[in-house]
Amino acid sequence: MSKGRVRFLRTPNHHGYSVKFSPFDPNLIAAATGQNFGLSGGGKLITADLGLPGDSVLCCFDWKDALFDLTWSEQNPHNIVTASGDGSLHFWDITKPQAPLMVYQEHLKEAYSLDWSQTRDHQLFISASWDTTLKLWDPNRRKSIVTMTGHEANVYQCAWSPHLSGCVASVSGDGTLRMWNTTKESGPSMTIHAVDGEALSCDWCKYNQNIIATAGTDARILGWDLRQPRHPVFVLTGHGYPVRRVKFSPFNETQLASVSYDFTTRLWDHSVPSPCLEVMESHTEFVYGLDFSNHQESVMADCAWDQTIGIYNMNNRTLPLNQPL
Amino acid sequence: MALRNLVDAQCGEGNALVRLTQHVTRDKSLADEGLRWPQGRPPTQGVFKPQYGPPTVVGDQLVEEFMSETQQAATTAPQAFRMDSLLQEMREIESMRARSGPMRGPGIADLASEASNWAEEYLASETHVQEISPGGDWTKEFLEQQHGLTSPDIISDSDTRWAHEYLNENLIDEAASAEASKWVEEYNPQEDSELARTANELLGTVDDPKFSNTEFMKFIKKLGEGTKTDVNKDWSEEFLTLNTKGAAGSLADSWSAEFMKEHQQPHERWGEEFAKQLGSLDNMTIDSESMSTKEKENFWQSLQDEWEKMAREDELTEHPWLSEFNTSAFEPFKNYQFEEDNPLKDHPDPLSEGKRCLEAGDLPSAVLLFEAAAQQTPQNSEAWLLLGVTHAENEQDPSAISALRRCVELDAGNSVAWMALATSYTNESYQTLACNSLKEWIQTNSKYRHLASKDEGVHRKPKMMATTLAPRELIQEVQDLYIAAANQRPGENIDSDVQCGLGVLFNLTGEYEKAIDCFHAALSVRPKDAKLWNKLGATLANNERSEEAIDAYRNALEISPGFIRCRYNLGISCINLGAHREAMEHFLEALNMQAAGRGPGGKESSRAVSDNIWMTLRICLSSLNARHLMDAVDKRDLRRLNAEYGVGNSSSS
Repeated sequence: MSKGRVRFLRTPNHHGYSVKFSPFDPNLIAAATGQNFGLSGGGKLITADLGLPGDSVLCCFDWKDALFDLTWSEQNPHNIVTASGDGSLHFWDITKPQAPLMVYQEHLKEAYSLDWSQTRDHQLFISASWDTTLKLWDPNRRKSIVTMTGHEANVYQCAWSPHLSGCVASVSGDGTLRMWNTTKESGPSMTIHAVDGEALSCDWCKYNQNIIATAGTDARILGWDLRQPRHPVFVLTGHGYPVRRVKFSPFNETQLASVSYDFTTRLWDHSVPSPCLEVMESHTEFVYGLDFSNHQESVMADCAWDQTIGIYNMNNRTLPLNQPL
Repeated sequence: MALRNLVDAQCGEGNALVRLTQHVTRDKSLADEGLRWPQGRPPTQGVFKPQYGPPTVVGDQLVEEFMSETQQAATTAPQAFRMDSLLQEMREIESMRARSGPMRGPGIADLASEASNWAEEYLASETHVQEISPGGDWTKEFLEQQHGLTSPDIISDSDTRWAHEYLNENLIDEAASAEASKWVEEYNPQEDSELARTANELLGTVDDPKFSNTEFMKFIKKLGEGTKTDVNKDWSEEFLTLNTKGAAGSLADSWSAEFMKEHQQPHERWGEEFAKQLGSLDNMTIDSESMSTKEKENFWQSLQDEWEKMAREDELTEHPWLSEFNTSAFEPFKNYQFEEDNPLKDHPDPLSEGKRCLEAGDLPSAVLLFEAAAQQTPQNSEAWLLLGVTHAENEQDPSAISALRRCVELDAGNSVAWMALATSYTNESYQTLACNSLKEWIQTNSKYRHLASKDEGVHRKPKMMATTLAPRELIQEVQDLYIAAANQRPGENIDSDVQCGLGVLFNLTGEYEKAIDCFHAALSVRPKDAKLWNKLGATLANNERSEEAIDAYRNALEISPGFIRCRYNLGISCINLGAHREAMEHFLEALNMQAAGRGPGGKESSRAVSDNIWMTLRICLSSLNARHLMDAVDKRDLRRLNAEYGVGNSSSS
């Protein structure tokens, strides 16, 4: 079934937690990794250029604790923010690998997720942490602007809405999906009990401002329409184990991808009767990171605890496998 | 059973993984693991009997408590496989053990705080034990009695104070120190056991065979056995195991306190300072009866060695706090790893035999023979060269690089080795190293040496850089060198090595068209060189000209049918053209050859087999939608795959 081509980049001795394409350069990709599966040791931010042969690694940036997530700046092609197990966030210039330009240390526990604002009206980013809070940051300021409390357990992911300015969604170990209005420092504006268990990931539909997907430890992906949050508008089953991350396609309104502890990466289309389009079983350990390329249709990346980053081209067009000289 | 539980989540009930922290403080071992004494109960309890009070009564209470807890655990079957909560808990536990120092440039600070952290944790664990164990009072009493020290609560606050008091008291008699040490040893594993328990819990909830093979599970298993320690902490564990008497523990405290002050000093001087410290400590009037001088010396010597080893260590991946010195594995593949079980190790003349095998195309046997040669005559650079070159042909670039590095260490003028290194580095994307190797090739080549600039120190250690991407200037420099070399012998007298070097360089920069021209030029002089054909093929394929690539590979394989790398490349090109089944056949043939060369009875060694080939085979299978064979791939079951694709167990033909 799968006609896609895969290419692997290795991240030796480091286990990948998150991978993201650059919003500026179609060939540039970055991964946040940790040693020892992120349980101990340090972490590395790895940038790679897919136009280069082999592992394509451009540069590595080290931190003394594992890195759990990263986000590219939407403003400057050289900037990345990373989140680490010691609760700190770091602002990097990828041309200056010696040390981050700024470190934001406020979270009391592991910082687990980051997202840069997807609307053009401000250049801020959000961080989510296991200390149950989310924080809004202006990258130029060392202190956070707003802290959003309300979750009752670890927050696993936060995501800006690409349509509604100031709107952020987050999911947490308390099983809920919450919406926040960052312009008001108050509690969540909406809470949906999304998962029986822990909600691990959420992502907004890029074409419909009311639709958001969540995924969790119950191994299902649920789609919600915020106008009537009582029950989900679609349910995707198929993964055998908790779904670690879900992402909507930037090119297709109804397509999304997911990665899971069952070692697979899946592509779905929730508008067709048999929604699971592809199952890619290219990894030998938990798959943790996932991203779509905004530049090339059907190109995706994932990263897994088998120390590799997988780049997929879901079209028939061949993504060449590297051939050693 | 567990599978079902993992899939059917129930609403937030007692989940073994989620409630980890509470569980960790009590003994949560699963029912079938049998009884274990709860934390806080030292095995050699007899020593402390007087203070401990009537053990049996307390024992029963503990047993009951434990039994009730185990039942509780058994009824609430493990729910969804909640990695993240587990990770969180494990990280919490880990963070207790591995408190990172504050963000500072000098790595010494972190080293020092690691040292003191260890001491703190060591003491913290003792306090922790106190809190939860009903028999905890015995520790207090023990200490008070033996040492006249203040209560353990204060110990956790100021370890150095305790150390000084301990030392100043100077009252350790033999028996007390013996007990102290035993107690120390027993309580060291405390921290590990918490982590171990968490790990074992996780292991207990995982039944799926798919998971049991993963690296992550192996890691967890090791944690569960308490054998795996954070690499950061290796030195501390070693120190503790060396700790034969309690006296050393206190020395560590004062020593660690000293190091807090040392953090401003640069790395090398710190090593010397440390040695001085040792000297001064040795002079202290500590009880030396309980530790013979020799013992003490050995102990401190090994500790110092450990520290100095760390001081020299610059591989970031193992010691992340040394970030100021290196930010990427800039000295990769440092140490060559020999095959443990080499049936040809004692061959009388491995070098000649190896060359014969190479000639005959039996790469895997050649590898073993050259390893034998390198082990028998480690100073023989030719052995290392052949070993490295053969590894590369056998699709094992990392091993090739290790071996070739040894060769150039012994023989810096070995130009063949430098070229081979350049190729392998290029394949592994170590651009700067590849460029430097190409430069060295020029330097070591009498014909072209004069082209190289004089101000570059030939054997200068490469600057520590965070990126493996070569700076534009370096690439340009090497390019100019080679073009100058090529122009030196214009027209008919093409130097195929120069062309090859240029070709490799152009591959590095992605200028494939130019590289192809170079390899064609090289081949015009040496049409029977299989390696050149392979390089041409790879360049063509990387430039998306897979059909032509296949022709090149076929040429190479005609000349050298045992050329495993080439066969692997052929397979990839087949994938690129959509001929997956044929690709599988090529991969399997390559793998069969690798397996055959290991000699009779050779057990499967992960090193002799190329991971690249297995990974690519997996991708190929995935495209073929042959999911039922995935576990054959995981287990590396060649027989089954051979049967499936009709590939015979061919010896190198």
